Amino acid sequence: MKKAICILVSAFLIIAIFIGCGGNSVTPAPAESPAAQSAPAESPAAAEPAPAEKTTINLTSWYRFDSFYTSSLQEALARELPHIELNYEVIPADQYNQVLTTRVLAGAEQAPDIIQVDVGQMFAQFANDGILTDLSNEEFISSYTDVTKAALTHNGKAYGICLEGNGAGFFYNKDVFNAVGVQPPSTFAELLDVCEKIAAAGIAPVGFSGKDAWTLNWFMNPLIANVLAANPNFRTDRYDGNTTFAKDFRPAYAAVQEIIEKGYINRGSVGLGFDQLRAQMFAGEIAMTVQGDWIVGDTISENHGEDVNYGFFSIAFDDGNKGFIYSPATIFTVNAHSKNHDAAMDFIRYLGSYDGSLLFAEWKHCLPARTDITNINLPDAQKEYTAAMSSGIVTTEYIYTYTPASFHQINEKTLQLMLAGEQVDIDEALAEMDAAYDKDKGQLSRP
Amino acid sequence: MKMSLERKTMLGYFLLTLPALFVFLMIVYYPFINSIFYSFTDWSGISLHKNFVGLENYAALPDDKLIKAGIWNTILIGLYAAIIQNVLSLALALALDSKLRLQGYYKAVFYIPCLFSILIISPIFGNIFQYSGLFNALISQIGFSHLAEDWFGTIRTALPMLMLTNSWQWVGFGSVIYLAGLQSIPPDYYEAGHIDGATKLQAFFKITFPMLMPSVTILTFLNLVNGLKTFELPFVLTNGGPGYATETVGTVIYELGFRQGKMGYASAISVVFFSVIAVVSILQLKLTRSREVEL
Repeated sequence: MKKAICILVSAFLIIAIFIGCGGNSVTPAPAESPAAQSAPAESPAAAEPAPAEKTTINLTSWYRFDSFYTSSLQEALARELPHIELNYEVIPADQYNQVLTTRVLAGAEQAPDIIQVDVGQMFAQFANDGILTDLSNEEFISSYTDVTKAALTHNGKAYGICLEGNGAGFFYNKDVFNAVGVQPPSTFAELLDVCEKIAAAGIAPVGFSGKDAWTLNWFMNPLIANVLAANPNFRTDRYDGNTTFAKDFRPAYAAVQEIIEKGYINRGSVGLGFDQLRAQMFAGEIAMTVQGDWIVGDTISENHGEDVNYGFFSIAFDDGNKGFIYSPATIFTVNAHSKNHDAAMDFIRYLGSYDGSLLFAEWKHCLPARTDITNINLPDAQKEYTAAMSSGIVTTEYIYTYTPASFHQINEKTLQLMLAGEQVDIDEALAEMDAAYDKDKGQLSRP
Repeated sequence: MKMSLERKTMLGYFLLTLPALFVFLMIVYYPFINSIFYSFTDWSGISLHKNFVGLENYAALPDDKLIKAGIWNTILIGLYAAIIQNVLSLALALALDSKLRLQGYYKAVFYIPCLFSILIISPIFGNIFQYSGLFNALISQIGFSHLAEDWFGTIRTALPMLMLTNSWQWVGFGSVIYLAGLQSIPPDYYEAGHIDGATKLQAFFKITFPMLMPSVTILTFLNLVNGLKTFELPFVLTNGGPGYATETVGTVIYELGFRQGKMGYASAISVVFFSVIAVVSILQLKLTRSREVEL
């Protein structure tokens, strides 16, 4: 008997290891590591006489920079900057800030030459601590909108290049909508009708990926943009204590709670990662999600450019207001303490130039930040997003930029609890967010 | 004054240990003492500036919902690891101690999981036990589809699943330690017990268990401390969720220190937590050592 148990258990362990290693069918195969791909590849410049000396510059990013590098940047660098060798490191987005912070604390000269940094608190902190190079007089700065310039500026100086603007909202699989025979809704009531029909067809109407908690914050951003459309001064009012999240944000959270309680969500959404959500939406198992517009570009990249038939729509709550987010993103800065400062400046000048920015936008299928890039072939969803923005009020701020991290954590937990089927008192949760905001307001500057 | 040969030898030994001692002090004691210092400041973890805030960080600990959840879950994990996981290891060791063919093979199979990194184990278990994973597919095949769950994404199952995953990895390790203990017990004791008419159960409680107490001591200590320090598994697998269901003191320290920019506050938790682990470990060692039997 004991023998039989031992044999069974050991067989299970071995099978579990092999099957587990195989992964889930909806999980995209992990990309080759940046280190592996950064091995010197044969470049067009290799045939020509090599420059006397190459300078290696280090770059960190949360993007799959390796796929950008191998798809188009490598060739451009060989042509435009033959004296530079790029050594890039991709750090997962959810660990990026922590890893970067640790390196900067170890000594700014130890930090990478080119640093990707998000707008907001960390950018301001690095600028304040003299870690970033002043780029105010560079050509690319004049190519941005005032909003983008403001995002790159701290105490009157511009510190980075911006490669894209992020939008966020309802992105949907057009094939699923066509198959079910529904049209994109424009109000919350219409959205519930559409969800009911999609659910009746056996498809998950709205997708969440609770395992990657940051996506939950992004789920809320477009809904909160509706609130900000009703009160454009909300951020300063909240900072000055003239309003509260509990008072103004309730409709956004109530809407999400209603969608979840009616069961219009994907099963197992708490344990689902964002990559799996993208795969399931592409496969038509999920009809729509609320997320940043990168979901479109990422899906196209993962499916090797295969046609991704996605669209965009926005909804209004009862007050009829529609808000949109268009926020500067993907900021690359130059480490002021870099040992390879000149080469790093050459690289950032190229990436910030018209050619470099176009190259990036075409690779990422994103909305370019440079205003002079107009002849780019964007996916339908992005075109629809750009067109929709004229029908509402556009805000440039998403909740990461005007709330402390403790707020994000409570927001993530609240949505996870809702998704896990727990009864969540929205007023209590919003009161917690208010308390966290008031406690940690010192981390923010007045909007 | 001439130094004696013995003193010279001792000084030589001391000098030889200095490099290792220096490294040890720098990577263990220096950060520890530093974190005590930071626990009295409002340091963000990024800023070059920090202000002294006295006991403010320590005073805020009892009212923090996140910390309360982390402490409660950590206690449960610690108790589970120290008691249930220990019993499972012992049971497995007893099974392996019988006259099995391929005993060495089984020992290796059960031991192997502890050699894997959590970073490997976590996605494997995450994939197997997610809603569309293998486990649910299996139970659906045998007619239990109504039991299908997102096992790591449901409040009531997430923490137990985390404990089971931890057991899967460490029970085999514990059983090897117990097995070594079992095989060092002289067979004469059992023969004497048999002659005196002891049943198998009596032999276990009167001979095996007392003789195994040194192994019990070390494994209880290791399981308890590792349970209390649990960090990687929830960090990679569930990120403390859903909600607060799998937050541990380790994940809370990370969240506060690195994500929320409250390194001073996180340091205060670390200091308190270190003290708790030290006290619990000393008590546990005293308790189990007092029951050890010398051969």
